[in-house]
Parts: sequence; C-alpha cells; structure tokens
Amino acid sequence: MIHPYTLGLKLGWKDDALNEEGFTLLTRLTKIFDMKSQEREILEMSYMESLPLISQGIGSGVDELRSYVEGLEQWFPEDGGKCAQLLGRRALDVGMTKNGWKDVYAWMESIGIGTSFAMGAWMQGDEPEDIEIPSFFDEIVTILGI
Amino acid sequence: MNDDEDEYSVPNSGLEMGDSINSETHDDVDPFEELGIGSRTHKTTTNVENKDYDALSDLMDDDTDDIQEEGVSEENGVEKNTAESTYLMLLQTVWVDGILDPAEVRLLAKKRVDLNISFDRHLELVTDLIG
Repeated sequence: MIHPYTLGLKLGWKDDALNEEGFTLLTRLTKIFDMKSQEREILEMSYMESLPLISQGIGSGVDELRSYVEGLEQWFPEDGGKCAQLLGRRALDVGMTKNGWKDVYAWMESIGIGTSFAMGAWMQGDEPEDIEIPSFFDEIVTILGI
Repeated sequence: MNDDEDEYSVPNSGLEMGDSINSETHDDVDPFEELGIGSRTHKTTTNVENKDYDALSDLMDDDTDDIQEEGVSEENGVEKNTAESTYLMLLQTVWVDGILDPAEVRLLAKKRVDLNISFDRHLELVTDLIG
C-alpha cells in the first residue's frame, strides 16, 4: 500500500527536483497526516533512493502537489476519520481477515486515523455515519474487498 | 547346661525375641544439625509425631496465609488480570476461522463493558495477539 505522503513526494519530485514551495507543501502534508519527523524522514529516504543523482528539473510537479494538498486539507482528517470508521464497519460486514486488519490498520495509523478505523471494525461506540468514500481510499476498499 | 550348649547358644547380653533395635542413641550426632542445616526437617519431624497433624492442611494453611498477606494489596491487580485473561481468551477465538465476524465482534464489545476493558487496551491486546 502506497503511503499518501509518498504520493505527495512523487508529485513534488515529478521532474526529479523539488522547489521551495514543493518543500513547504510537503510539510503541510505531514501536518495533515499528523506525521512525526522520523516517519517523514523514513519515507523520504526510501523515496530518494529512486531518484537520479543529477537532475535538470525545476520542481514542475508543484502545481499537482498543491492541488493534492489543498484538496486533502478540505476534508482531512475530520471526514477522513469518518470514512475510516465506515470502512472498518463495512469490512466487518464482508468479513475482515487477519492480514486485512493488520495491513489496513497500520496504514490508517500512519495517517492518524487508525483509531477511527478500529472503532468501525470492532464496533466501538456509535454506528458510523454514512458518508461518501473518496477515491483517496480506493486501494483500501480493494484490499478489504468492500 | 554343658560346655557344648554354652559354646553354641546366644550370649546373655544379646537381644531377646520381641526386642526392637534402637539404633538412635543420645550419642548420635546429626551432621546437618551441627552445620545449622535442616532445621525445617526437625520441625517437620516434631509435627509428624503429633497424632492430629495433617500435612495437607498445614500446607493449605500456609498457602492461604501467603495469599491473604499478598492478596489485600494485589486484589485489584489480580481481578484486572483475570478479566484481561478472560477477554484475551475470547479475542483468540474470534480469529480461529481467520475472519472477523460481526456477531463475534458485537459479543467482544459487550464483554469490554462487562469486564471494564478500555478500547485502547483492547487494541493493545489485538496488536500483541496478531502483530
């Protein structure tokens, strides 16, 4: 499962270069996902390995990155938590496997909505609100077989 | 009695029929006692000599005393551990078929309330259980 921050890195480094605005946008992204600096560093180090040593780029991916970050800021994490809870509950209805739980819970935790997902999956608290699941969760929906 | 009879008879200073052999004399020395080891054995021997002594009861009494001494301060902890053990056992059963089922999860949610187990603790137990 690709981490949403890694997706941001791909956008920002589209031409193998990141400009100053791109860097600022990536920092905003870490705040959206409530990531620790260590988590950011691990993902960046891993992504940097795929980059060439020299680039003629100027950070042309910044527009797409801006769009990605601003889009997320409009609904995340509040609605993200609601989606996570609903996904957890729906996964339970179709039958959640051990690995499904483990992988998705870890992914959700890494973006700050693990508890919401767990609440849905383990029927903790009120029933989840019926909400439209954005394409952001497409991979999760597939993995859980919803 | 003639000389032949004297030659083949048991000496007078020997044991008579019905006498018991008493090998323990006051001169016997217990090397363990001398070294200060085995005082517990001595106590046990004294107890065994008591007609009404019941070793099992004594052992049980000792255990009870120990539990009572420790129990007061650890009562809450023990109750908590028992509740968690019960819950953990239930948690293990829900994954037996590899699939999480809504009915099982509903039962667990009810048990969390009954056994006073927080949701955070539940998540810790799940993580411990399946990684």
